[in-house]
Amino acid sequence: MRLRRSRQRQQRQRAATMAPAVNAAEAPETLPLAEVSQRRTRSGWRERERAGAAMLAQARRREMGLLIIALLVLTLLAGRLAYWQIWQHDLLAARADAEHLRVIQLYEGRGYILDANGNILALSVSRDEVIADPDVLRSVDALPQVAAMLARTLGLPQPLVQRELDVPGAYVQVRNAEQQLALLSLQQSDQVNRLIAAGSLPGVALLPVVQRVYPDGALAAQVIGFVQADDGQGQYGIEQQYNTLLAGQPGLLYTAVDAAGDPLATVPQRRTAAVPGANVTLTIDANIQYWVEQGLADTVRQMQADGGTVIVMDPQTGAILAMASEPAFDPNQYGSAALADFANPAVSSTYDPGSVMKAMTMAMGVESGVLTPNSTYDDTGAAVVDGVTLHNWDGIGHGNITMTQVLQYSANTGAIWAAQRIGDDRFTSYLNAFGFLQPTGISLPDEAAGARDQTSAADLTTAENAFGESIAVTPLQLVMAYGALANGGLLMRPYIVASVAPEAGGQGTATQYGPVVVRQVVSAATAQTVTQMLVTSAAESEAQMNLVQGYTVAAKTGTSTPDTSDPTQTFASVIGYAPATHPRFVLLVKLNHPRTTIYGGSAAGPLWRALAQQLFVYLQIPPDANGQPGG
Amino acid sequence: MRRRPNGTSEPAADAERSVWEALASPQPHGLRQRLRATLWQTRTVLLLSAVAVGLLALLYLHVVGDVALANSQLQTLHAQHTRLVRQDEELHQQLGVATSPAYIDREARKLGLEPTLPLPAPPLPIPPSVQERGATGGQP
Repeated sequence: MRLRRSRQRQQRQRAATMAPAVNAAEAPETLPLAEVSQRRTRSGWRERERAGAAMLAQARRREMGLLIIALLVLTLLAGRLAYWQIWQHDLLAARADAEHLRVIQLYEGRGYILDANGNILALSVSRDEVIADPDVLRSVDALPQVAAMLARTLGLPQPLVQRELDVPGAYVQVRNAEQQLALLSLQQSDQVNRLIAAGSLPGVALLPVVQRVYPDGALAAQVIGFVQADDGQGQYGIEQQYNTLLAGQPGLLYTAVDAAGDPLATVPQRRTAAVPGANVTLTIDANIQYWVEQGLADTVRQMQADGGTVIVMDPQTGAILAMASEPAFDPNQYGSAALADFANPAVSSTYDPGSVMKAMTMAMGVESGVLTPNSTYDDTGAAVVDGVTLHNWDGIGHGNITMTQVLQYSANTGAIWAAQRIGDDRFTSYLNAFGFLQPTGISLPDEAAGARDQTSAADLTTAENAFGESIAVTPLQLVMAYGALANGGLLMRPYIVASVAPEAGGQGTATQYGPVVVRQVVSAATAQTVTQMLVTSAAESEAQMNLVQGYTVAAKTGTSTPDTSDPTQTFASVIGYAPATHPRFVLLVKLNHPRTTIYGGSAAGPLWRALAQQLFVYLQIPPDANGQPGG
Repeated sequence: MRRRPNGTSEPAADAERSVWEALASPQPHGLRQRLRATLWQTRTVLLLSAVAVGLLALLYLHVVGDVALANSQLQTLHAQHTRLVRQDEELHQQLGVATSPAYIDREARKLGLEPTLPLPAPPLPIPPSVQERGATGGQP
């Protein structure tokens, strides 16, 4: 009962609260609730529909307005976009490319130069040099600290480094006490990089450079040449002759880079592969080259000569085993060398060879059939040719002597006698056949051809050429010609490059170079005959100082005085091959203007003998003379 | 107390409320319903688009992150390669020096070794008579 009353009370209260919302006029009529509801719904809905339609129309107008504005804005933007993307495309693309695209050169390194045994004669090494911005150092007041740290790392005196850094401007390369770029080792680079990363070296950076290094120093410097540091071009010698092959071709990488300048792998890259430099292997044997250079330097010093040249060649193949000249230079420090020392006199300098040419004259005569080793003539000590009197070197007449004795006494008149029987034309033909008056074709730059005196009459020139005057030859031409005598009359082209091989991973195949027969100059019998003449004359003349115990040696001395006003200015030389029974090497020793003694036998002979002894041992050549000197 | 049309008695407030509920109920041809349906569809499309864009962004960031990581690794490997190349060059240089005849000669002498053959042989004296006669070419 109580619960019912409570519910009724609640219903009354609810009705009272709802009452004001009902139309007061209709309330007394007490219309059915559904009709009230229907009426109210209809009228409210119409009103709302009308209001909604008005709002919709208004919204549509606003939308249209906004659409038009948006379209205008979009049109403007599209126009602007078209302007930048179409009309200004190239300019923008170029600017963008310049901002983040780089063409990076990819170096594969210059090839090695190796000796015949694979020892490294030249290689390229990447090093870092230290660069700094002195303005930055001064602005942060860190110059003394940076100088101290760099000095400690580089092993240089601190005052020197501080002086190097304390210069006006914004860029400096740190140099050592010799004013050369301070190039860092790998460990030093690591240390400096750590300091830079730690922020201890403000305004300091490392710049990689490629340095050409010659581990043997001056060894074979004139054969090898050097690489110019500023443009990486080979100069002189093999470095110049094979520059293109040694250098290879740098590759190109077109890529975007990050802020540090490192290539980004996240963007498309275009790459042109680099061609690594080829390795050039020489026929030079570094050990023989070293003995030759040491001996030549000592001899030049002892003989107070201006310089000299030594060549060792294998007569069977034409391979050059050693080629040295004094004065030489260190290609690691080519900047401090004299320009004249860069050239290789063994191939680019000519000289009057002197009496060493008499062996050629005898070979021409024997081959022509106009003389034999036993042919005799009356040596009066002088001969008149074209009105000019030519004397023996000592002015002595030896009477009736053989051609072998002509070599033994080095009688000029005997050579003239032989040349007159050979004849000018045939003599000239033989000169060419022996390889004189033309480059040998060796793969070295600036090779000279040589020349004959053109100012005198032909018969006088021939007579003088017969004993090695009025004709200019290179040391290599002479070695080549003697090589023919040693090799059964077969003239071999001298060569100094054994192979050119691509670097591991490089394209192409190795190119091997081997013996090249130029021509048969004289018959094997003639070569044998002249060899025997040389062996005999060497054994019985002043040249016997060149002989080596147990070996047959075919050798000839020569002394020429191109400047007749000063007969002491001579070219003194000894050339020969051994063992004469089966020659393994041709050896030329030539001194320029020796002053201690001016003659070939006494000035160049001792070195010839010492080097021949070394070669017999080193090349393991068995004795061929039963312990008798000179066979 | 008011009576309902079916004869049952209900409060007037309840009737009023049902009117409004009827108004609020979905009507297939009403403007509000159309707008509301459109709104729901738009919301759904936007939501799905946001999810799709989010997924794509996530995928893109993942790929970019991977590539950036690979790029960083590539640069590290490149630096290591450069260092190894330099190390190789330095070792070759040391090898070149160690195999050079001059170095071997120097080290051998330090160990007390001497060349078996003296270089060069001492020059032989030329007789004074020969030196005095001078030279005019073609000498020995």
